[in-house]
Amino acid sequence: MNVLSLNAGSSSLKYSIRQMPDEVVLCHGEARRIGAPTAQPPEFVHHANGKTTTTTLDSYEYAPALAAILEVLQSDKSTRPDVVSHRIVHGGTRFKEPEIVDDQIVVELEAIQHLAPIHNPPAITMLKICREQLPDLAQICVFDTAFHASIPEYASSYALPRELTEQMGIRKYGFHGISHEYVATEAARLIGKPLDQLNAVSCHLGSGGASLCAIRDGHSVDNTMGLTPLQGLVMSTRSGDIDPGLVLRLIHQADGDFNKTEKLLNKNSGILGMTQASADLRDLLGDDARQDEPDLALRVSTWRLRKYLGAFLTVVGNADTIIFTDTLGETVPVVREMACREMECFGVKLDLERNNNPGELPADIATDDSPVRIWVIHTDEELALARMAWRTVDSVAV
Amino acid sequence: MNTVVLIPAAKTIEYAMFDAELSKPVVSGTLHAPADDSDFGRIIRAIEQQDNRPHWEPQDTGYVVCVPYSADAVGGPMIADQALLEKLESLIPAAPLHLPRSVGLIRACMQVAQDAPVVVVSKSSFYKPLPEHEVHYAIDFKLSQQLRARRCGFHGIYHDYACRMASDQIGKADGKIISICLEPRPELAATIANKPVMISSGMTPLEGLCGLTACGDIDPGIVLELARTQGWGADRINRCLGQESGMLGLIGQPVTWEAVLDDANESIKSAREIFQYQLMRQCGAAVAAMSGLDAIVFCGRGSIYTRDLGKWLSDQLRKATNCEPALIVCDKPLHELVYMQAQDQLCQTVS
Repeated sequence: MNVLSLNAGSSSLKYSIRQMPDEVVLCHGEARRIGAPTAQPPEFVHHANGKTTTTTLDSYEYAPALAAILEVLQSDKSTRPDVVSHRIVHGGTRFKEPEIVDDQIVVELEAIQHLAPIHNPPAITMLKICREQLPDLAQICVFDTAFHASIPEYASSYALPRELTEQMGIRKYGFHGISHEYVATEAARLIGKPLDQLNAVSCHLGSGGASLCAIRDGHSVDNTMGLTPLQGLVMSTRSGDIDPGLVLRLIHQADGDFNKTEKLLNKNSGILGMTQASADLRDLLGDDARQDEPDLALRVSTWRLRKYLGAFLTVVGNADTIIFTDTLGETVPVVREMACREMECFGVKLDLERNNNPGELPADIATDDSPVRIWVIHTDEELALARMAWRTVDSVAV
Repeated sequence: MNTVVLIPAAKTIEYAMFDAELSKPVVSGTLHAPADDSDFGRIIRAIEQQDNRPHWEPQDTGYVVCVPYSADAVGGPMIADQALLEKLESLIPAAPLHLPRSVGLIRACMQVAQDAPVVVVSKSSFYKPLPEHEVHYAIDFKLSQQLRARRCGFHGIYHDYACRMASDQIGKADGKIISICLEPRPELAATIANKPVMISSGMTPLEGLCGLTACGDIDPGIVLELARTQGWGADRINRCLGQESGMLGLIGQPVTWEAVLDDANESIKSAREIFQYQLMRQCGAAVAAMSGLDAIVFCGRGSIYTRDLGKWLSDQLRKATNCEPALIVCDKPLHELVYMQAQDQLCQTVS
C-alpha cells in the first residue's frame, strides 16, 4: 500500500510516498517558500529514483503547490497513492486519535481552524483538494495535539475562571506531537529502553515553529506551546511567551483590531520582529556559525530555550536524555551549546567537539560520563504520518 | 529621627510610623487611598496623629515613600527633589495605574516635611541588573521600544532583603538563591550574589506565577480568543485576567495563601496543584538560569505557610538535579524592609 504523507507547514508543503508496512520511500520532496511571498520565488523539489528535480512555482499559494505534487505522483504508476495521510496541527478537544475523514469531520475541523491560524487553514485546504481529486482514497488526519492528550490536568490548566475555560475549551493542547513522539521512539531504541520507560525532554527546533516536550514514561506530560502554537519559545515570526498585559497594550495600539494584533504576534514577531531583517536565526550566526557577542535575538531565543529546558528537566525528574531535532535542532550547534552548557547540575554534560561535529545522525553529543545523554535525531514527520495512517487503515480492515 | 513609611497600592496606602529610639513601628495599618491627590497631606497628618506620645515631634520626622516602578530614575533609596519628581512623572505612561498616586504622595510629603527629608525607595530598582536577554520580548523591536516593553518585577524590596538574609545564613556571598515572594501576586527571582538573573513577572504583574486573583502565564492567543469570542474590550479582559482569575477563578471564591497551601478541600487541592506545578517549573528554569542552586528563600506575607511547599519543591529539585538547597523563610513585613532600606539615606541627611 502506498501512503502519501502531506505535511503542510507554515512556509512549506512536504510530502512522501511510502510503501507500507515496509516503510520504503518511493519518492519525496517539498514545495518551499510558500504561504507568504519571500525574496526568492517558491520552488518545488522532487526526489525519486536517485534523481532530484527542481522547478519554480508560479504562485506561493498552497493549492498550486499541491497540484504540482499530485501531477508528478500520478504521472508514475509506481508512486500513485492508495491512502493519504494529512498532518493537522490542532485537533482541539475533539480529536485525540487519527481519524478517517468524512464530511462531518471537515466541518468540525473548519470550526476550530482559528486555533492554529497559520497551520490549520492550509492543511484543511489540502484535505479538501485531495478529497475532490482523489475521491476513492481514504484520507486520514493525524493530529499534532494528539500526543499531548496525556498532559495531566494540573499542567494543562490555565489559572482562569473555570466557567470560562470550560465554555471556551481553553487548555494547553501542545503541538509538534507527531515529531516529539517519533524522536522519543527513536531515542528509546537508541538508548535501549522500552518507550514506556523513557524520560526525556524533546526539543523540536524548526526553522519556523519550535516547542519543547517533557516526556515521562514515554508519554507527553508538558509542552511549551499552549492553546495555540503562539505560546512558548521564541520562533521565526512568532513571539512565544509575552505578558498578557502587553498583548492588551498591543491591541490598544492597533485601535482595538485584534486581528491585526494576531498577525503582528504570529507573523511579524519572533526573530523577524527583533532583527527587523530576517526570520531565520541562522542568518544571525555569521560565516563561522559562532560569534563572540551573539545578536540580542539569538541570546533572547536561546535563553528562553535554556530556561524551558531547565523547567522540563525538573518536570521529568530523572531524565534519560535530551533530544534535539528539526532544522535548527539538528544543524545549529551554537543553539544546542547555549541551551546545554553549564548544565552539570542537571547531570547534563555537553561534549563541545561532538556538538560541533556530530557527523551522521542520529548522534550522541554528550560526554561519555554524562548521566543524561544528548541525542541529535533527524525527525521524520512524514514517516510518522505514514505509520499512523497505516495503523488506522489496518485496524479498520481487521 | 522618627520615620513615616508610606506604601501606596492600587486602592490603598499601607503606612507605618517608626520610633527612632525603638527602630520598630509604633503604629501601622492600611488606609483607603483618597481619590484626590490634594487629600494626601490630610492623610499624612491623620497618620501622624495616631501616635500621641509626647516625644513624637512632627518637625523631627522623615518620610519614606515606596514607589512601584521607577525604571532607571531610582537606583537605590534617594532623597526626593523636583528633578526626581519630573523623572517619575515621565514614566507614568509605563505604569499609569500606580505611579500617579506615588508621585502625588511624594509631593505631599515634601510639602508636609518642609526641611525634613523625604526618601524614595523603589520596588523595581532591585531588577536593574537583569540581563538584556531576560528582559526583552520577541516582538517588533521598534514597537517594543515605543511601549517600553521590558520584563521587570514588582517585589524587589522583599527579594533584596530575603536574598541577603539567605546569603548570610548559608555563608556564601556569591550564593545562587531563588527568592519566592508569596504576596497576592507572587513572584520568583533567581539571584547570583544578590543580583537577579531571572524574574517570573513581566512588564505587568499579570505575567508569571498565577496569584490569588491574577492569571499568571497564559498563551497570548487566549487574550485574542477572549476578544474574538466574548466580544470583550481591553478593560474587561484586564479585569478578568487580573481580578477574576488565579486561585479565585479556579476555586470560585476568594482565598488566602494560607488556605491555598494548607486546605484539604478538593477544589482548593486542585488549584494548589496548578500553582505548585507552575512554581516547580519556574524553579527549574531558575536553576538553569543560575547553573545551580544553594538556597530557596520564601518571603512576603504568605511565607509563613510554606513549610510543606518548601519541602515538596526541594524534593522535586533533588530528583532532577544534584542541588541540595537550604530552605529559609523571611517573614519581615514590607514596611520594615522599606524602613531598613531608607535608613542610610535618612541618617546621612540628618548628619
